[in-house]
Amino acid sequence: MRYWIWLALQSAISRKGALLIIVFSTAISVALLLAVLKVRDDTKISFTNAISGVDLIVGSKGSPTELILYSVFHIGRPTSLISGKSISEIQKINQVKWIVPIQLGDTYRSYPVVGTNAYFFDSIKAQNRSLTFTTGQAFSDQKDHELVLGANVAKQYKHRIADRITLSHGTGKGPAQDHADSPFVITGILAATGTPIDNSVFISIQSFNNLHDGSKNLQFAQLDSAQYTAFFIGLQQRSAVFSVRRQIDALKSFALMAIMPGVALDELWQTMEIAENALILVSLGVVLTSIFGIISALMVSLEARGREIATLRAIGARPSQIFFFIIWETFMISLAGIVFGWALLQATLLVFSDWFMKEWGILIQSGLPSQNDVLAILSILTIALLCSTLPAIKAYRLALHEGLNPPSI
Amino acid sequence: MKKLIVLGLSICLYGFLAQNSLAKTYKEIFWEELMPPDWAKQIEKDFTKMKQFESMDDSDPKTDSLYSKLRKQWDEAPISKKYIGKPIRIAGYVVPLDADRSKIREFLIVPYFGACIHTPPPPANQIILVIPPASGLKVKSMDPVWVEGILTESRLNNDMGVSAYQLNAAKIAPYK
Repeated sequence: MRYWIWLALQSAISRKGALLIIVFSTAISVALLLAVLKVRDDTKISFTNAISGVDLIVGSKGSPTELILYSVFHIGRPTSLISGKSISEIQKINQVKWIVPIQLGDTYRSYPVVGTNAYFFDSIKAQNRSLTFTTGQAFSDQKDHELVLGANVAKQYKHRIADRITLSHGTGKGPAQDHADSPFVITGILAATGTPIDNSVFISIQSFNNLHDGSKNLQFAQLDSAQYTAFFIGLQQRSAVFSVRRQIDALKSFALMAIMPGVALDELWQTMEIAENALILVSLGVVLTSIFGIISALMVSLEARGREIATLRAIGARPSQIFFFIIWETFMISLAGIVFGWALLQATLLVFSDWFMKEWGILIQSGLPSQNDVLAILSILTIALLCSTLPAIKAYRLALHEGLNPPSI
Repeated sequence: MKKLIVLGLSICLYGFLAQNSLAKTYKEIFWEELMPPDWAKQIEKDFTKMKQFESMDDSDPKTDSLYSKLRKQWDEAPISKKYIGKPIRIAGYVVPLDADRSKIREFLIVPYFGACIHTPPPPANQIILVIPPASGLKVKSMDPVWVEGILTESRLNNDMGVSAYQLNAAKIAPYK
């Protein structure tokens, strides 16, 4: 047995040029399939762990999916802002317990900056647990230029309490987009939650408005006159959610929309599943193509290897041994392709995971293959082995005399 | 021999009864039973009255005010005390509340498909807030489920609030 492995290896090395290309094409297709599976699983986790405790999200009229994407996951931007004057109207609705306003648009080194009030840290939950600070405390709504960092942001730049940092306007990619004239002081760092909160920087509404008014002196803008991206609303009684939603939708002078985060997220999910399945189908097609590539390459090479096989037969190899010789070769090529493909994917993930996190808020980690990955890899190997019986049977049938007799002229 | 058969039969019967009584711990109830009878009668009357307005245009301000009046009545619908504090089992459709997609997310159940998402929400006494057990079921919007637990009344601290149904679920199972 050991001898056959060595023989197959030597045989493969003698044809390394063609085989390397086959291994490489297998590697790329395997990497593609594993990447699709990886992105699917990790986005699922990223979207699974979101905020809880919020009963309604209020934004300007439009698509509920868009509203939840930008207000909770900080992906995309609102089509229009909502007026601060509506706050007092919403507060009048009987069942409303609290309103937390949200302002978005600025970034700190491409991490989103969220303008809100200190009440955010008391009311919003992650996985049904309240937010906690690892160090420090919430900013004060009364003071300007204070901020709270999410766990990942603090970890990434090794920030500590009382550090001074500068925020940027918009995405911060462009000349003169820094709010360099008004540095902020860190008052608190939040504990990790596994939600988009970890990748956010929080400042008070007043600070947010002052940044954009251009006034350096501390003049606290009236909350009413400000413009907001969204409101998070909590209710006295969660089952009153329909009634409150209707009353907010009916506030005629503001054109507001109230959505239930759970329902909106489930709708988003259904849309995503279609795209997800399409992607998996396409990458399965790619993997199948590359397996057929291996098989056809082997079939073709057998024509040229008539002499090699005949020699093996002449020195005493049985036809069944030739059969397993070919299957063994296919197995090695596929395994090499899979290992190489997996390594390729891990290397790519290592390089791009930071970028994914910042741009999309999705945590994609390199690491050991998941259960689904192992299943996919095993099925690729099985299909390859099944298909390899074709060239193996062909080799089995190659007659001894065909390889050894000189071609008849 | 006869004795043995009798014994076997009685064991079977006992087993059957025991199983039956176990199933009876949570009484299966229907959504209509959650409406106070008087209120249900009143609603029926309102509906027959509504029939007269059927010919009216949708944009008519009268329709509008009538609709919002009815809506307010539904939102403040009183609950029936009949099953408060009792173990019940009820089937309904899920309306998820939190953006967190986990087993512990709270949800509402409503009596008909599409309620509150595509169609007007049901009256307040036809909505139950479900607090899932620690080992809940991962549910998504409009999944049909069976929920078992003690039905309670959630009342607000201030007196003017309307009370609503709440169910601390002992078990959530997919509807079959």
